[in-house]
Amino acid sequence: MNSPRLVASIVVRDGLHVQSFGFRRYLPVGSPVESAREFDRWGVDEIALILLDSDLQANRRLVSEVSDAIAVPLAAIGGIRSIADARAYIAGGADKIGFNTALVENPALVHEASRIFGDQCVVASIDLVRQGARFFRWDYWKKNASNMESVDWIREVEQMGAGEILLNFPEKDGAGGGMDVEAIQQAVASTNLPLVAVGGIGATAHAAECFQVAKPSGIGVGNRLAHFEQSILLFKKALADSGAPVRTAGKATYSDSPTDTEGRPAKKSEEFLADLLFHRIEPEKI
Amino acid sequence: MRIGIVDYGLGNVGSVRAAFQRLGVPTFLSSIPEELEAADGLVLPGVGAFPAAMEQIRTRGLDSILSDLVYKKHKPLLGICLGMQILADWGEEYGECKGLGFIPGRVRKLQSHARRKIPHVGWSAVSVLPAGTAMFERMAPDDAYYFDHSFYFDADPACRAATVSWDGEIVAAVARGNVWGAQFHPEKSQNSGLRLLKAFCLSASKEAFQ
Repeated sequence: MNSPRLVASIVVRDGLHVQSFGFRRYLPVGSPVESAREFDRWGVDEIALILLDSDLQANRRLVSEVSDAIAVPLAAIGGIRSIADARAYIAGGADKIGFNTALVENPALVHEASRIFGDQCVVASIDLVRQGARFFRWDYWKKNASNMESVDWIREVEQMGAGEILLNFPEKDGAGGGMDVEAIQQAVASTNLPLVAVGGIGATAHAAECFQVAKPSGIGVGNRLAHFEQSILLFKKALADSGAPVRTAGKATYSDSPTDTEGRPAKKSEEFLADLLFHRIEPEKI
Repeated sequence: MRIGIVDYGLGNVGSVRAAFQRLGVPTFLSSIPEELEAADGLVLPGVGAFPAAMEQIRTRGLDSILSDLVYKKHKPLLGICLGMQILADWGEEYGECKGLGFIPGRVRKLQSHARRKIPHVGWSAVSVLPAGTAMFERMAPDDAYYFDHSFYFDADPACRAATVSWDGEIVAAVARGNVWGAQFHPEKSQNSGLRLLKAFCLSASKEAFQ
């Protein structure tokens, strides 16, 4: 069985890693390469670069710099308008390429990419919005809901040859109030493709809750990862504490550390710290 | 020591190169027989579809070059992902296609009776079989590897080096003499993957001194 994946979503705008709020407002974090390097060191399972810029040369350079800095899989999503663009990302070191607008405007391109690079390489990046108890495809350009229901839209992108779905929620994006677990659960049940859900995580407990109920193949975290040191390890701790069989990378797990309500480490008890003196931790061998 | 990455126009060469770099092992990319012969070990990477890969291999004459290097020069070879699948006799991706035939078996489409998600994507631990003793020699107890595939190698049981639990057990790695193959991506599996690549380097340097 696969471990549930913790995916770091790095949104890039004007060449910078940014925090995104509702797909409208952005705050700079810093160098995307440095963020990726840290997330890799902290044991992330996969990195998704969400490229909002249209400069293909700059995007390609960034994909290759990030790829060189990490030893985990890399998905490059955004800005692909031709097979040559897709090839450029893959040659730069992307393991997967992702389409969003092209799913609507140029399905033939997605189909062709799947035939050439294999479906395991093609990610369909889908944005959903809630209307009452139903969920609809969100239109990136018009910034509103289309009349396409989520399950129909998922069926369509399956037929385009996508091998994975990245599900996002513009209204949840950056809000930090938790994920739309109901929508994610419905989407997971409607497809046989692996699905990574993103959007709305403000505390480590939100990720654990989503995995427990909706059981997506992966959970994407964006803004929150830049809010505290070792964030990946602390997200994995929360998932592991809730019973999810996460992958541990190395010996640092925070498994016996208390955390606060947002999932940040709290101070350990004096007894615990005193006891630490008597533990020898062998260095990891490669 | 030097590792030669077989260049056939497909494959995530940058990641493979970066992974060996982390181990301090120099690599080079080539499809020229004399250059490849000078390497201590060869890596066959690969991303994409089986027939497209074999077409590239054949156009460059790499099928006979590799078979010469592997069988006559006893060069250690590690196939990764699609590079592992094309070691097979046959592939069934987009119709029948002949493979390199270094490891007996066929590459088939994943089919799940238990409604498992396809492609098989994500991190999994593997169960090592006797043929994989050398390949997984350095594996640590919690090691997991990154998989991403829609086809699997239905290899001859004697050549199965490790399996992964999916819908039943499927082949995760193959080994037959100096030919090794990994369905997962050791170059994308953090330290777990580096340990496997190091085992390959150590085995290759033993071969080089014989």
